[in-house]
Amino acid sequence: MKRQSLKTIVQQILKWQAKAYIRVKGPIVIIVAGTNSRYWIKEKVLEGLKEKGCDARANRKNFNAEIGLPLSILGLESGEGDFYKWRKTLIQGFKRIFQGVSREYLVLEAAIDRPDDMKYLLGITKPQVVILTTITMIYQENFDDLDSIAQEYRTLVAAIPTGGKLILNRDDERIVKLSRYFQGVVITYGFHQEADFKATEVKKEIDGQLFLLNSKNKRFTKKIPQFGKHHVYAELVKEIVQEII
Amino acid sequence: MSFQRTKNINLSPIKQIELKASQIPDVISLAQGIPSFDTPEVIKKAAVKALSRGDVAKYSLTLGLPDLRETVEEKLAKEGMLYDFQSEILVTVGSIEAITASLISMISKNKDEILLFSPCYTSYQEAVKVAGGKPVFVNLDEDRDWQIDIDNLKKKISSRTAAILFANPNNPTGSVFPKKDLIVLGDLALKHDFFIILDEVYKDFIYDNLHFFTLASISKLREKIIRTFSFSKAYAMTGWRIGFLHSDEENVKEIVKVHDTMVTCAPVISQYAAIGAFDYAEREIDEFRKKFTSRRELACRHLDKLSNFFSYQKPSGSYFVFPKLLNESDSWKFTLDLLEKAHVAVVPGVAFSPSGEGYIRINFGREEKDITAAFKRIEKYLKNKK
Repeated sequence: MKRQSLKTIVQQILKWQAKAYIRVKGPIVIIVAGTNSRYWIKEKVLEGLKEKGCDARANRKNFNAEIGLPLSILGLESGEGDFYKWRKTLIQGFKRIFQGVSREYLVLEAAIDRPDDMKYLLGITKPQVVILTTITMIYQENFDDLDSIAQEYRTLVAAIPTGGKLILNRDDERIVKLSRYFQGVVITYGFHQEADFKATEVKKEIDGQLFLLNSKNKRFTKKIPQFGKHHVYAELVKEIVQEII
Repeated sequence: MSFQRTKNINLSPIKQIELKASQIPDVISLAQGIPSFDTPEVIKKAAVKALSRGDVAKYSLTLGLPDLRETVEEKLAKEGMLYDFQSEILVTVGSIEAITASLISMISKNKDEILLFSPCYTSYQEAVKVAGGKPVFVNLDEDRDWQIDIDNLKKKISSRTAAILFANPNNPTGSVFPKKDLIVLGDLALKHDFFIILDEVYKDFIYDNLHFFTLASISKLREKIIRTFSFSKAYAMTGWRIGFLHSDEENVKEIVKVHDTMVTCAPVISQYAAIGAFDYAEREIDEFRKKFTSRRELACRHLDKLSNFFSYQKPSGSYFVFPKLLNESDSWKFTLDLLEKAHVAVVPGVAFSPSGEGYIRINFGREEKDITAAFKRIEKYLKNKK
């Protein structure tokens, strides 16, 4: 019981600190959401930002909304089950709010497919950029659940400020439909003919994949060592991010 | 009507020994290959969380939860193995289901021989027989720390060879195969068109800073390699029955048909636990490795004291030592007598294929107090016997 109360106090303090950090520092928050492939896209977005010389950081994988999200925003490590470590983390949290000033990009991979998680996230920060990957089956016969997950992403899309950007997977119909709920700039990626950043002529080789990257301004062949279309998506999104920042 | 197919298939001798041991009060078992640890708390928490969220009641996709397969892809990529989670990673019911499903999918009328190192894990030969194949033993070279005898291996390859199946580190010998021998093996697989089924369940327990190399990191071999891994040993999760295999998508496409027929999907609660294992339990693995290192030293010290009765190669990996019986030739007889008179369970070497006769397998993954107590009993038994 005592442990639970302490956990609640820590959560509240972290939430407050994360909100204060966002208000004081004003980082540009990029959220990568979807049922899978988030990790690869987050890593490529981070790589793209760093290549452009931006001050950028990303969260560690699989954070939970209550503790992991604020820790990621503040750039702090979890205190795990150790009271003294948590005390140190919270003290650092207060310092982070006022330490240094820089225009920072914060890339957050969020497995937010439940109403409470989404509410919690949006209660702390409103993203300037949202990247949606895909909504796919997790269980057999869970088609109904997929529509409810799409509803959750609708809330996320609607929270982007008008000057923000929405980056969508053109190959996923549920994802594409979400563009209706945003009035700002929408950029799409995928293998679909109508994607703004499109991969064509994909060829699997023994040591990776080869594809042609097409956009309004670019057209070039890219070779990557990984296998699977999610890596092609990640490369396309990296190109988009490098073009829009 | 009779059971023709299973007539020549045996229950694992390890389990037979365990059954016998269970009937003896105060027995100490160094037989079955289970670690002494409980599943780490971070893993249990991941399972409990999934359970309380109501996420475990449904079948997952046949290939496994996308989140787990993605986590596996991430982990593999960090270890230099590049595989697509959507089509090249299959979550299985431990490593043995992955192996059996692979064997069933590849063995045919004209390609029915599976090369097995001798000695090797007891269930391999039975899995080959279950799949309708024929085990062909390739003796390891004991004088070179149970390493691969390439010339001997070449002699056993035939037009009927469908695959070679082996564990690295090897069970029961604890030997770790070096890169140069594995590369030769890979070239042979390409030349003679057979698969290599790699069982790397003990790869996290390698000692003396020895380098571990996996053929699954060689891209030109990806169509020939089927690599299996289980969470059982590394994360103390034997009861959760969870593991995976990965290979080129053309191979996985075939294996998944057998997997779907046999199990539909791996237990979903265990899949969530496996995500927790890969995401949060690295520190625990380091702890396990440290403990096994000191237990290996302890077991070897005890064996050194019994040098009139045993000779042995110090294992480089796994948590087994495979001593030779200097004064006995029948390992089953010795094992049963040791169990009956000293109340210590070990596994007879003959259980690991014919060339294992005259040896016993000792699991040093048990608690230090159990190892010490077991060796005291063994010492007393051997001295009384003299």
